[in-house]
Amino acid sequence: MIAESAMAGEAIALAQQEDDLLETAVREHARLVYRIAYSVLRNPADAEDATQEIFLRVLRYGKKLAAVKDQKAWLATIAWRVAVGRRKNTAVAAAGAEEPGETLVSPGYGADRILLEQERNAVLERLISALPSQLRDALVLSTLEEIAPREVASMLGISEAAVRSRSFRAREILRERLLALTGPRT
Amino acid sequence: MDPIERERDLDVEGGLDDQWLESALIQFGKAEPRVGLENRLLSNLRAERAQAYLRRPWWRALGMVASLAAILVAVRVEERDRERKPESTAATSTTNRAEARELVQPRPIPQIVHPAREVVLRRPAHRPTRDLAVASTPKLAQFPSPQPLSEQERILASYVAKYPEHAALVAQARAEALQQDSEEEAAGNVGNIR
Repeated sequence: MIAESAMAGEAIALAQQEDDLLETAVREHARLVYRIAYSVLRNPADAEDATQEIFLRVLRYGKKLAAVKDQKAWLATIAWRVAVGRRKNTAVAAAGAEEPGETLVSPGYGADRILLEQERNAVLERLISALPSQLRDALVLSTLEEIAPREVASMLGISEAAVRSRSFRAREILRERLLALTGPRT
Repeated sequence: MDPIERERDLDVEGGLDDQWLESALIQFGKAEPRVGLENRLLSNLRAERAQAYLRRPWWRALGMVASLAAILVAVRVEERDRERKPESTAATSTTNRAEARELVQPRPIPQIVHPAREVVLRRPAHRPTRDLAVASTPKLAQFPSPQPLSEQERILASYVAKYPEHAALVAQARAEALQQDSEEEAAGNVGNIR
């Protein structure tokens, strides 16, 4: 009887610990997960859905959470896989509920400037989405401040040097294409 | 040229340089979710956890164990009842049979013997314990069960035993009288119809 109650108590404590861990993970990493999802899906609603799905997966494998050493990297990897999986199933760019580039505009500018920025950002998004997937993935993940190149390398399953070179190459292509669109500077 | 327009043109041209690209890429990775993302996530997770709790296998296992225990208890109670019933039934039936044989020896009561009934097959399949109980009780050789004779029957039986010829004559006369009555009755009915 005493043993049973002790076991029950232990189980409750374990469940409580799992709950706490999950809540901490949500509070600390939800935004990162959302940004990763958004960087792939480019749609706020899809990104939030993906974020929900990612944490539901974590909940279902709750026991593993305690054994994870680097929660941030682990969650980022899951987020990346889920988002890429979703991107394959949905038409991303055209069906966006939001005008492309809307969230990228810096506040505090006049209307002309905002329109100009929006236009540029829309162009940039189109150019990024037109990049080869290997280069695009490395570039998109590199733009996230929270993720170090080492973690990007781990997520993509490539070396850190490869991440850097792909990201550099992607930037070069973007620069060239932007210049081609606007013409050489005089 | 208007200074504002000039500045804008300069921005357009100058914005395409490395600095602009870098800042645009940084902005690209700085998407902000709608306010309250964490709370929405947590409430969804709580709801999911509550549902998962109900779906847990041990919950079903507990239900199975409880129903198994209920079945076992029911079987045990049935067995106890069965242990008690056959003793009393057997005792009653043997006593009755012996008495009946003793009393009706000269002119045995016509016995309606049922063919052996397949009790188990006639029972619904979902009541196995009941079937077991029925199958194990002793089958009676005649139906209805022999009852002790009444006082008048006993007197009649003794009379028949003592004076069988006279009794046969009386019975014959009685039968003829009955037949005559029925014929008269039938004739009266035909006349009424006509």
